[in-house]
This record gives sequence, structure tokens and C-alpha cells, in this order.
Amino acid sequence: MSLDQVLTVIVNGLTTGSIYALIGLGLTLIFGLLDIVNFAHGQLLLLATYSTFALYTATGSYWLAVACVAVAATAIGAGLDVVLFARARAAPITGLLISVGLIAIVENVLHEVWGPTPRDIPPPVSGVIEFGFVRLPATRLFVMVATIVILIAIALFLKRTKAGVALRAAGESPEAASLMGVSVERIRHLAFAVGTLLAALAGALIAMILPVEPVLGDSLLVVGFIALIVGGAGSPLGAVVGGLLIGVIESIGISLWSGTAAQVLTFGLLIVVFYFRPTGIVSTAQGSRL
Amino acid sequence: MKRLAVHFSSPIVAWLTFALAVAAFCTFGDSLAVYVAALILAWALWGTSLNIIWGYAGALSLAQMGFAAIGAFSVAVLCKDEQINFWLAVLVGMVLAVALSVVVGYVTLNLRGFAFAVMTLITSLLIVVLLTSWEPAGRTTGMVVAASPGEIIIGSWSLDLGSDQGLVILLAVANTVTLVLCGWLERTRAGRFVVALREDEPLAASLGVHPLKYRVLAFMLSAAVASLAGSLYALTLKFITPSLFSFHASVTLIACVVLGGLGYRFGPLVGAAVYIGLTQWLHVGGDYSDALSGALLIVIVLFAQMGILGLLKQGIDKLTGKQPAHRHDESPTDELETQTGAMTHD
Repeated sequence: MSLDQVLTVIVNGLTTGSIYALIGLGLTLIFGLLDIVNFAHGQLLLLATYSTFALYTATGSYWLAVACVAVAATAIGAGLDVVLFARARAAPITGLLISVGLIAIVENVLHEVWGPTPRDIPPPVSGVIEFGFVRLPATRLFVMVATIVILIAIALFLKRTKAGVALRAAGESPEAASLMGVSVERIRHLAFAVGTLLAALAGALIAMILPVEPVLGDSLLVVGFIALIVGGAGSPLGAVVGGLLIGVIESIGISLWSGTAAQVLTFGLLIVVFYFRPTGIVSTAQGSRL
Repeated sequence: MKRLAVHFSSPIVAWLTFALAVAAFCTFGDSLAVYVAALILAWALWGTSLNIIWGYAGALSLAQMGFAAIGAFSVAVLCKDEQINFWLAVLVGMVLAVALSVVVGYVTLNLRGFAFAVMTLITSLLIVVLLTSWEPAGRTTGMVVAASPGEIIIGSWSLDLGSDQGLVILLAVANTVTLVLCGWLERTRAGRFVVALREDEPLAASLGVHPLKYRVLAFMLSAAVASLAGSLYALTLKFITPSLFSFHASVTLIACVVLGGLGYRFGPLVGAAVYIGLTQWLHVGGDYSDALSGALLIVIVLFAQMGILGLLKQGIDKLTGKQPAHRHDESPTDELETQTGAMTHD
């Protein structure tokens, strides 16, 4: 492989990886605050993808469609937590079972409404951009830039706003946070809402680089899990690093061998990390939450 | 009342009900009823494998789909040209599944809660991924199961075990053997150790019970049962694809086990009868049957965590004035995780 090919493979990997990072980050926020691994994350993401597609074709404006989906996803996330997951606080395993039930519901609805054929969303940008050796489709550049903007926004939210600080505090110690006057229950609703919003944004972006079908949710969920665990469960930065790493490894696997080999490689990465560094690549102060 | 309750909860009554139901289905049922009965029994056996690792050992495993896929495809691939005996293929599947469970178990069973669930899920998905890209297993299109389990001949009467009636009998026997084995294991040292670890790991470990060793043992048994269930499930369906063993299977599996009563020996059987019976026979929802079963799972989890047998036992305890067994934590939402399900007195 020549140098520009290697660079192309890595850049491609970073693009898919940035979407994986968003998925992992959403899962991490929910997991860190609620101790619930939301198994329906991938399906909620696809719901956002299909809704963006439908709204885009209906209104003709990509940005309007994304804005509507983002608002709806935030509301749905908060709603799911208030109605369902809030009942499962004492036993996280109940939350897991609820999310397993949600998978069946959302996937069935997607299948019935939009059918099993893979789809692409017509992207708002087109063309090819060249950086020295690397030829990059504009869609991929768009995905990367969008992800960076989203990640900066989330980082500012977590570090600079009162709600963000309260959210991190509640994740670290719910008791201490609640003694400091934080309404932990509300913060949990917020975390679920933000997590679902991130899934929805990832969903709106993913259709630009991958054809989307209802069964895609499972594999995206697994990638999100791997990002969550590899990064050191509970660490937002870890989830982002984990997501990017998986993207690059997958891209290398696909270019050298095949899609199956790429999946086996990612699972292998998880097992290696688990074995040698059970707390993840980026360990949080309190250690792994898993 | 008390005597009635005692009899009602005794295993003999449960076994008699089971035998009568199987006999009734085989004698009076039309072909659809017999097929549904076979499906119920296959899911019950599959559910029992989950009950062993989740109900008894307290670790929610999502690898059961993967183990069953191994059993199913062992039979389908090895018996394709009828060169290898069906039962030998079943055995090969079980050995493979058990070997895998040892490897996965030693790496992951130290992990608690989600990490174990996620790792086992990944194991399952990996198996499915490998099967979909494996030529002899028909890739994504799937393959016909052309295996024959043989026939029973007594004098002039004979029964082909591959027919639907024969399958119901075969599955009923497999369920019986597994449940009797479970009942026996509940009373052995190893079985008590496994339950003790679920209840209070530090305490059990301080008394010299090796946590990893006994959990891996439970996982091995559950893998063997899951593989057997997969082989017989494949025989019932007669056509299998790798996607049968995807995440959806686990939704149904978990629903069966929780609905029947997690940790109860007969729980998966009762749960499968109600859940599979409901979704198969009534064909509720038509196109939206998946969504309905998902909603059903959520309702069960939120409002009937103890399952049918748990509610039944609670009712009997109330009638006979018996106090419920002492628990460390009385929080009702902790039920699923800590529920002992009174497994030791079914």
C-alpha cells in the first residue's frame, strides 16, 4: 500500500469513527448517570435517521429536518426516562430489560413503515475535496466537521454550564450532589435526553456515509458498547477515543481483508483491552464503573 | 387448604400436568397445535439454559443465542449428506458450545452485571457474523435441516422422531431430563455453591467457595443445554438462517424466562407455554407482532417481575399464612436481581 492509500484508509476510519464516538458518548452519558446500558440506543438512532430522511424529502431543507429530529429526540429521551426507566432505578437490570423490549418495538415499526431495503440520504453537500495526497468526499468532511462541532458543544456543556457540572457531579456521587442541592432525578432525565439527542445526531449523519437498513441498529449498538468499554465505562473522553479507534481498526480490516475480518478485529480489540486494561484506555478517577 | 397448597406446589403435580399436556397435544391436537407444542418445548429448553446461568448463578447471559446457533448449525451442516448420525452431530455441537463457554466464561465471569451481558452479547453476535460468511452454512440465505433423529419401534408400532409428534415427544423427554438434572443439581454441593455465590459472593468466597470455578461450571451446563435446544429447534423449524439467532431471539428468551418466574425450575416451561403460545397461536398484531411482544416484555418487567410462578407462590403463601422467606433487601424493584425464587422448593 502506498502512503496516500494508507492515509485514505485512516481518514475513512476516522469518519466512521467519529460517528461511533457520538454513539459511544451518548451511551456513556446514560450509563454514567443511570447505570443503565440502553440496548435500544442503536434503534433510536435509526429512528432518527429515517425521520430525518422523511422530513428532508417532505420539507426539502436538510437543516430544518435535523433541527426537528433533534428536538423530537431530546423530548423522546426525556419522556422514555420519565415514563419507563425512572421505574427501574433500584435494579438496573430492569432498565436493561425495558430497553430490550424497546428494541423490538422500534425495529418492528421501522420495518413496517420504511421496509427492509437499505437507503441513502441525499447529502446536503457533494463533490470531492483534495488535501495533498488524500482525496476526501465532501460528505465525509462534513461528517467530521459536524462531529467536532457537536463534541465541542458537549464538552462546553459539561464543563461550563451549571447543568453540565451538576450532571458530572451526579455521575460521580449522587448522594453528595443531592446534598449540594442538585435534583439528581431531573439530572438523570437530562442525561437520558442528551444521550438520545447524540444518538439522533449520529443517526442524521450516518446515512451520508452508509446505506441504512432497519437491522443496522444491532451492529451500531455493539460498536457503541465497545467504544464505551474500551474507553473506560463512564469516561466521555474515553468513549470518543474508543469510537475513533474502532473506526480506524475497522477501516484497516476492511481494506486489507473483508468486512467480517473487520468485525472480528474490533471484537479482538475489546478482548485485548478487557484482558490487559479492564478499566479502559482512559480511566476515570473512580475507576471503571462496570 | 394447606394440604392442597402443598400438593399443588409439589413437583409430582407439575410433572403430571406436563405429561398430560404433552399427551393431549399429541393425541388430539391438529398439525398446527402439535407444531406450536414443539416450538413451546424447544423455547422452554432454551429458556432453561438461560435460567441456569441467570436464575441460579445470577449472571444474565446473552450468549445463549450463540450456543444455540452452534447446536443448530452443527446438526444442519454435519447431517447435510446424511453421513453423520444426528445424535453424533448434537454431541459435536454440545462439545463445541461447552468449550466456547469455558473460554468466554473464564474471561468474562469475573465481571458483574452489564459487562457480562455485553460480552456475552458480543460472543453471540460474533458467532452469527462468522456463520453468515461461512459457505457451508449457506451464508445469509440459510439452509435446510435434513437430519433425522431416527425412530422408535415397539413391536408393530413405530414413531418417526423427525415427525412433529415425534419431535414433541423428543423435546418433552429432553426437557424432563434437563429439569430432573436441575432438580438434582439444586441439592448437590456444587449447586448450592452456585446459589450461595449469587446471594452473597463475599460471604460464600470467605467460606472457601471459588467464585469463578462454580460460575464457569454453571455456564458450561447452560451452554450444553442451549446447544441441545438449538439442535432440536433447528429440527422443529426444518429451515434455519443465522438471523434466527440474532438479538431478537434473546428478547423472546428473556421474556419467556421472566414471565414464567426467574429462578424457578419450571419457570421457563410455564413462561414459554404462555408467551410462545400467545404470540404463535393467536397471531396477535399480525405485522406488528414483534412490537407487541416487546411491549409485553416491558409490561411484564414493570408489573409482574416475579413471573407467573412467583405470583402463584405468593398467593399460596398468603393462603397458608406462611411468611415469605427472609430477604436482605425488601425493595420490590430488587426482585429481578436478588429473587431467590425459592428454587430449592419448587
